[in-house]
Amino acid sequence: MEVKVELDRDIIFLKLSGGLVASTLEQLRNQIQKLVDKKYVNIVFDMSRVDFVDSSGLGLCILTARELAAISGKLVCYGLNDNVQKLFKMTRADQKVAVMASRMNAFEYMLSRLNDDLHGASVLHE
Amino acid sequence: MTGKWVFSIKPEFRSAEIVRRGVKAALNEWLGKASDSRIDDFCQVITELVNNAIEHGRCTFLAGELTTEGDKALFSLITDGVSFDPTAEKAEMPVFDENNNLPEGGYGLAIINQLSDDCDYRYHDGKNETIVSKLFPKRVKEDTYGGKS
Repeated sequence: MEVKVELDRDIIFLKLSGGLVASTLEQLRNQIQKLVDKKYVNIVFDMSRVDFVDSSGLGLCILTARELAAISGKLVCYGLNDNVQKLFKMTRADQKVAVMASRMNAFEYMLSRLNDDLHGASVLHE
Repeated sequence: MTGKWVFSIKPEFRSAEIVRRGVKAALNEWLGKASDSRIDDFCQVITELVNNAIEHGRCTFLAGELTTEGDKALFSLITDGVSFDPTAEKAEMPVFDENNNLPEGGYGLAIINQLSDDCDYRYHDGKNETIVSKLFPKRVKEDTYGGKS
């Protein structure tokens, strides 16, 4: 699996290519851990070039979403093909992992979250 | 019309991807279509089967065959290792826990159950054989002039 990292404001975009499957998970898991260690907790998976996800890959998405949520972060996925969307829906993973149609949607969703956090912080200071 | 695709492969996770791609190519050719969601479903099932054999069965031997017969595709996976009957296990999708969390594992069997039409298991000659099948009832057929109907 090929993983490209992009940073836009405080949002990390991980551009994934190939299969999100048992044999490729360790690399991605390590990459995510390094980002979290650097305090990047808002992560977007660009899955438009992911042709296949098995139950291990699905598990990684669920686990990452849970771990990021625990540190006030978020995982958003976009660009899922029909088969992957079906897997997310069938397993109800789509209820725990935010799935967006496009990069623009994912970016706006993340920005609104960041703005909400900022607004919340300013309210606390009042 | 029948067809057969046979393989024997090193039991490691990346083999699941190789088997999946091989099965997908064979079924695409059989159906005469570049893509079909039923093929994707069946490939998902096969991947989960192979992953289970490697992860839980800890097999040192992994072989199998894909057979197409009429409107049915059958995939048979033969492994050594831990004897495991997937049909004997409860195969339901994991549910949310009391904290509204989903577990990150335990989906493989449920996926096999949900996306295959039939699943059978037998143990013979010291080996596990798991057979899954799926019907492809309205596949595109070649007529005698090579066109598609």
